[in-house]
This record gives sequence, C-alpha cells and structure tokens, in this order.
Amino acid sequence: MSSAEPILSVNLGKLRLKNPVMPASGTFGYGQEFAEFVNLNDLGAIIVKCTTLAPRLGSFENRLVEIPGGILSTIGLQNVGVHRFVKEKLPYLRQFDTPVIVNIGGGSVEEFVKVAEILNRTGGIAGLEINISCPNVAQGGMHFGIDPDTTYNVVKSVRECTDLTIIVKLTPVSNVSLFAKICEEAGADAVSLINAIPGMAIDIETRKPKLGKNIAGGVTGPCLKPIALKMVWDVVRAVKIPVIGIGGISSAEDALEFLIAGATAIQIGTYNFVDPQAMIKIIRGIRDYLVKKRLNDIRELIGTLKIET
Amino acid sequence: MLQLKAFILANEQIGDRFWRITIAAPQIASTISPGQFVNLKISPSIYPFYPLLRRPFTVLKRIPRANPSAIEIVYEIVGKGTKLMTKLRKGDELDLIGPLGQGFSWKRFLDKEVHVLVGGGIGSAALFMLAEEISQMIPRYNLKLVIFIDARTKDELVLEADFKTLPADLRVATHDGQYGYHGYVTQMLEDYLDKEGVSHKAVIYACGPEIMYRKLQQICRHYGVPAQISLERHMGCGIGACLSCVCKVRKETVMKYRNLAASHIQFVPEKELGYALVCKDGPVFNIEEVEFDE
Repeated sequence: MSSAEPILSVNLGKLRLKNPVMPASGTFGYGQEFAEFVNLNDLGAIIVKCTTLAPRLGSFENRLVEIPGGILSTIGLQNVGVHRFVKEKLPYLRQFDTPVIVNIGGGSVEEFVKVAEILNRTGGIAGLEINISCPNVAQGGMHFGIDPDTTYNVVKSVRECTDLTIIVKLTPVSNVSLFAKICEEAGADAVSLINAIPGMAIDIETRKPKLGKNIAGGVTGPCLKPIALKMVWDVVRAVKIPVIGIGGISSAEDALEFLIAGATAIQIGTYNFVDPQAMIKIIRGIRDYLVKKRLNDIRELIGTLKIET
Repeated sequence: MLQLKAFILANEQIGDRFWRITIAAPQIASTISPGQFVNLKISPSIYPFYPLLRRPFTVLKRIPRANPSAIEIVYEIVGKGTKLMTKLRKGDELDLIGPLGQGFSWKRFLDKEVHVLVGGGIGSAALFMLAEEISQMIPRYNLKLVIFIDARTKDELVLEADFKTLPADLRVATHDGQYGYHGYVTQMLEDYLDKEGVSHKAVIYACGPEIMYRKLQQICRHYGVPAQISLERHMGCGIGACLSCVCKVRKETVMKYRNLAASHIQFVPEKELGYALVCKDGPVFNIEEVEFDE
C-alpha cells in the first residue's frame, strides 16, 4: 500500500476542497483568463477578483513596478461590480467541479452586506472571502481590518445574511492574531493571511513615485514569504478555525512550509503572473512530497512543526 | 496563446544599447501576427526571482526558413531585466508565452492607398512584420508603402538595413541631424503630409514613445488621418488577470471601434474616461481611443 495516492483534500468549515491550493484574489482574474494554461477542475478552489457593489475604475495608470523579489502594485479594486460578475463571469465558472469563492469588498458594512446578500441568493457560489485588508483604496480597504470593532461588525453582519463559507482576509498588522480571534468570534469559518504590505518606490531621476499619481501600493511576491509565514504561525496558535496561508508562495516547498506551520490551505498570488501553471506544479509537488515522506493524508503534515525545547 | 520552453539560437549586440535575439519557437512563428507580443521569463531556472516577472516583447520577424523556425526580437537595455538578457547564450532556454494581444488590423484600411508606418526609435521593431505583410500586397491592391523611422543618432538607427530589404519608400531621420532628415520622425511625417497632399487617402501605423504619440495625435486630428498605435506598459501577467497595464481610453471613441462586452475595458457610469488593458485590448489601439496625460 506504500504507493497509494495520498489524500490531499482539506476542509474549510463545511466546505471540502479536493486539495489545499487556490489562487489569491486579484491574481487569477475570473478564472477564464487562465483556462488555456490550467484545467480549472484541478484546483482546490477558485477565488475571483475582489467584487464590490458598483463597478470600480481602480487606481490611476502606472499600477505596477517590479522590486527585488516582488512587485509593488496598486489596482485599487478595479472590478466589474457584483451584478456583472453574476451575469457575465459566474456562468463560465459554474461548469467546473471546483468551489467558487468570491472575494468581496466594500466602503461600508452595508455595502459588504448587500454584496453578500446578492451572492447568497445566486447559486453556484461556495464561499465568500471578506476583504478587509486591501491597502490600495482609500475607502473599503484596510481601515476595516485595523479596527477591531469594525472587523467584528463586518464579519458578524455578513455571517447573519449567509450560510456560505466565510473566509476573512486579514491585514498584516503586528497583532494579527487578535483580529483572527475577533473574526472567529464573529462567526468566520476561516481566515486567510496575509494581504499585501503597503509600500512605495521612487524614481531618483525624476524624483517622482514609481507608481505615479498613486504614490504608494502594496508589496507582494516572494519577498513577503518569511513575514507571512510568521504571521500564519502566530494565528494558527490563536484560533481553532482553519487558516489559509498567503504570501510569496512560488513553489511546492514554499507551500509545504506554510502547511507545516499549520495552514490548512494556501493561496498563490503574484507567482500566478510569473507562471500561469504555478498552482498545478505546486499541487503536484505537494503530492510528491507526501509520497516521498510516506504520508497517506495531508492532514498528517498540517501543523507538525517540530520545535526543540 | 501557448506557454512553452524555447531555445535561443543567437543573441548578438547590434548597437551600443541594442541587441538582437533569435528564439526557436515554431508554434509562435507560425501563428503570430504583426503587432502581437510574447512574454518572456528571462531567468526560468537559475535565478527564478530575479527578475521576477516576465518581460513583454514585440516580435521583429518570423523566420520560417530557420530550422526549427524562429522569431527574432530586438531589444534595448533599459533596466536590469534587459541587461541580464544580454547574458543569454545560444542553447539557453527561455519560458515563453505567446502570441499575445491584438495586433494591427491593417486590412480594415484596404480602401486607403497610402500606408504610412511611423517608428520612433526602437519602436520601429514593432512595425517590421506589418511592413512585410503590407509590402506583399502592394501589387494586388496598388498600395503605396511609406516608412518613417528615426533614432537619436545614425548608430542607433539599428533597423534601417532590415527595412531597406522591403519594396517601400523608406525615409530615415536622426535627432542630431548627422544622417537623413534632421529632426523627429513626427516632423518628417508632417512635412510629408504637407507636401504630398495624401491625407485623405492615407492611414498611419505607429510605434514609439508616448511623447511621439501625443504629437502624432495632434497630427492625425489636424490632417484627418486615422492611425493605429502600439502602446507599451509594465505588465504583471500579460494575460488579462492582474489589471496592471491599463491605459486611459475615451468611451465615445471606444464605442466606435469595439464591442465593449467582448473587451476588457472598464467604464463606470457618468465617467467619459475608463481603462483598457494594454495586454488584452491592445497593445494596438486606434489613436483616437487613447487619452494621454499631459
């Protein structure tokens, strides 16, 4: 039996994923953009672009610049709005045997609730990821995720209007565990972290911000990984609900570090841009690792960090 | 749109800051059309994170007769990515995605007699395949093909020899005046339109820096000549997912040319300006669609 296929499936609340690998919101469009590179049936879940009540234009031009080991970018939640999402984007995703999780954003608790209500009565959606951590919009972003009371209110209010699986995407603040606990208390099924860390870059020739009129953006990519891993490690010890690790994961080895630290699942962000097949390679790499280590089930690996005392 | 491993057949310096790389890619050579681009991961294995992102390049030429058939790209060293690219040698492997984007739709303008190509600096590389295609149609449609290219100096006019091989009226300019017309390619174009009186039967295809497009937009408005231009942006993914490579577009003119529902263009109610994705809706746009910052 040593060559038996290892079990990769994990649960986020009542939602069962066939494997723990999914895209980070905003790095995978609405799935269709990647369909020529990836069989969407192979993914653990599909998390689509952050969706707000009304369509948004997003940030100014000059939205992205590469930095050592990562990117600095600001998209500012450009999206088609929840109504066009339901009408034009969701029907395509329904054909796949992969749970669709919609990342939702808003400028007020009421907006979050309205978007959640609309998605709740639309079939074909498995879960919501509440985005209280986007650093790139003045309203509807990070300010929700840095205030304990508003965090509680948003999560509680969305919880009251839906039975869909709720994930809360956390802001990378130093006391992130406190916010994770608040989300758990407010009824979240899982938390995901980390979102981008605010950053900026300056062109010394012109003395202008490299992101132009946007001035600042969010840092993502491989350079985030150690920071994200530490925060995930902190959060898994603070809450009982599943934790989804995000931050610079570019290979199966990176993903395995997060799983060993205690993440139940992981999201791939920036690296989807580098290699559209990254998630497929990571799923295969996790599987090969389990085989090599003679582990029959991924749950035998999750949260098994060995600490010498 | 394919993702594939491709071997380098040659990579040689052709000017102070300019290089020419030849990549074996039969599937790309046989399907790419003028104005489309490829997205290259320059360092797939040894330094996977440096540079991290792919770099988009316009293709200069298809070389169907090479074995295997290949594509040729001319690039300028502008940053760390292109500097590293000069280190690539024959036999090295690249990860390539392509063909990407919407190229020039020149057949829409077959009712025009004079097809004018305007290449600013190394931007002229994006026009070569188009020039080849149009030149093959000269006898059939009785077209006139006029090509304007420029560079700062004679030494930087690295594609003149390539364009000379085509049956076209080629005119070159240098900014320092040491060779050809003294000035910018747009001045040369204006002189031409003034003297020849062909505005009513001309169409322009251009690639160059943004400052050139701002001038070209004025020229096109003044002479009433339509133009297609190829835009350049920093890209995250090149496949329409990251929404980084946006350019500002005008709703009124976009509606004239495109089916909005089939595009990636984002407008919101009550605003005339929206954002198009250079990687998906472009890189070639009608010049009237684009709104340039001052």
